[in-house]
Amino acid sequence: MKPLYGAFAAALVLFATPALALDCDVGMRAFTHAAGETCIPENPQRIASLRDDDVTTPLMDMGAAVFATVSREAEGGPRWVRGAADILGYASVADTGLIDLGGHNPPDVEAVAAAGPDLIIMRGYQIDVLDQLQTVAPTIVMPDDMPFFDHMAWLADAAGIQDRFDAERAAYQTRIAAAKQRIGDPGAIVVSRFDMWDDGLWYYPNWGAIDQVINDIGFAKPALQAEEPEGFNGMSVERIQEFDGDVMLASIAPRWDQTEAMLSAQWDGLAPFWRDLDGVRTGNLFWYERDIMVGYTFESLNRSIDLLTVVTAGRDFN
Amino acid sequence: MSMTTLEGFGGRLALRVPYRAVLVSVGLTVAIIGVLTWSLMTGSYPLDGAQVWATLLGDAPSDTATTVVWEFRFPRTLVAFIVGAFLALSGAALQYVTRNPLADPSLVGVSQGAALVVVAVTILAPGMGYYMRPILAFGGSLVVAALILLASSSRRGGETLRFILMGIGVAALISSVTSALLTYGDIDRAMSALGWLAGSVHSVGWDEVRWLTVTAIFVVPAFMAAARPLSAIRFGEDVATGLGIRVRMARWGLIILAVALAATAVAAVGPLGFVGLVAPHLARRLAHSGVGMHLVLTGLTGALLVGLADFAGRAAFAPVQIPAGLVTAMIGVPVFVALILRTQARSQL
Repeated sequence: MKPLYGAFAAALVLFATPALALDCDVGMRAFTHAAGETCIPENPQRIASLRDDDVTTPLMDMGAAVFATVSREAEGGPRWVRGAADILGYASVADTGLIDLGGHNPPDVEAVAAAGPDLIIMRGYQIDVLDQLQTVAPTIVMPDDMPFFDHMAWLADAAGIQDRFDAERAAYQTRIAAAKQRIGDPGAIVVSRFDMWDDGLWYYPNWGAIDQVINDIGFAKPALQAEEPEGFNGMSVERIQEFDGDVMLASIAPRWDQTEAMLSAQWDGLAPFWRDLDGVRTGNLFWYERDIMVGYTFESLNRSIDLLTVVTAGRDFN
Repeated sequence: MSMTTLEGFGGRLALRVPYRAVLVSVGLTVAIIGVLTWSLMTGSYPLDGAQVWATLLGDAPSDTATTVVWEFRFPRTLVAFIVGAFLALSGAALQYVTRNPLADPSLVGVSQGAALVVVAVTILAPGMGYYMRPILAFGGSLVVAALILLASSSRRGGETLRFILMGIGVAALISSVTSALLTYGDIDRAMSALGWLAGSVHSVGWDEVRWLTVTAIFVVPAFMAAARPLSAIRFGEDVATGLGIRVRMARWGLIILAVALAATAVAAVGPLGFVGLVAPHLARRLAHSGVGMHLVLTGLTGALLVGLADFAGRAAFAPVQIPAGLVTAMIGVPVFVALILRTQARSQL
């Protein structure tokens, strides 16, 4: 029977032992991402980003060594890095001397190879070029739909700047505490954030910095929004009453030549009764710049704190 | 048709050679080699002709040059040629069988079936993974094509017209479901699906080259062997029957071959619109010939069309990439419109 016991023990060891950690070279470490585990540099110095608004921009905001990025075509203008151009300014972006990798869908794998990165960060929808990019440099895929700070922390970890992220987050928590103190009882103020487009009402929870700040300060939300974990688009405008609040926030994108007057006129055409909402009648509808406030940056968080403090602190909504 | 007849054995053996068609096919082959050469030398990563040649011979100036030439440019260009030929041959066979000059693989639901399954899985079950896409696309193509074929053949008589109408109807239904998924699905997943729908020649590698080549080895000779029944069928069912062709069997056999080719192409790179429609007509205008030679010209034309489209999309505005599917549509739509106008003029509609 001994050989049988031996075989059984061997099988147990074989199948019960957890998978061995990835064996990485000196200066590299194993990193878990949406497509598995990859050895990446401990301190990457030439990061290529394949998504501008939610990879390049937060990396720049946290001071990571991003040196090449995809970008977008401006109508009749230069290519621009979505998010960073608005939040950090065109001049700041230009000063970094970022290498332009072209569009993001599909990305130009040759341009990435020509740039010579030591780490490539991509999004899940670009996974069809993962195998190609892994022949160029360690490539990691960012998981979809992460909460705001998980998103930022994941990027900071990949870029080897976790300490900077921790410091920024601590400063943010201090600012949130100060804002709460100024506002008094944020839980008694209903803040409704939504948009209205041709196909109806839109609401997405966890939509970048501004929603993070609304949650962290502890404002109340309309029941429809509080109970909606996934968000929606195209909800009938007949339900706009359910979007009423003490303070109402809607987004605007000056980059696309949107103005408050233009969007108000558009809303009049879609659902003229929006003007009957309590929040609107009392002058508490505020427009925020989408590309700035929804950005994945600490700068966006700070600006959102400023906006929400200004429109709520010291005011009586009863 | 410009023909030369070669005779031997005192006239007992004669071979008619459509020399213009042969010349055109040689010209198309040279053009394909030219596009391959040009494509290997052009892109966002700067390499001159000598460096590319050295890389091909194993003496690359850098590891990155080896990656760019051998892993990016070479397989991509070869796949573009092969899927172009597949879609073109599929379109030609369907045009002959249905005797409809506007037929192409989308008529039998190949593109729509693949699109529906890939989009549905990408949006509703992203955990199934990107690597399943070729199998899913192939399965979706075959299932929808089989549905259309079965529904079309359920009664006797009038099969061709019923086949066309059934194809258009089912394709429209499937496309509407696909559009709904894209509209209401998660935006990142929808973007992933849209990238594939636009023709993802950019992401292929040597694996695709291998299995497309294996498919070509089995299916293309069968197509060439089908030249005789196709020749007969284009004159109508009665004439074909009189010439000894078992029309029903030949028709369904050819449709199944056409579906297999198109489904394989779509599984490799996603739907590439208009190639199957346009290539057979372009080939016919380049040189009039018999069915066999026309199929050869059609395959070469399709290969050249998609090869050029992919090259243009990759290099014209680099580093911005335009998916091959969009470029083929840009070329295909004007030709499609011209064909409709020409058909209308002929039929006095």
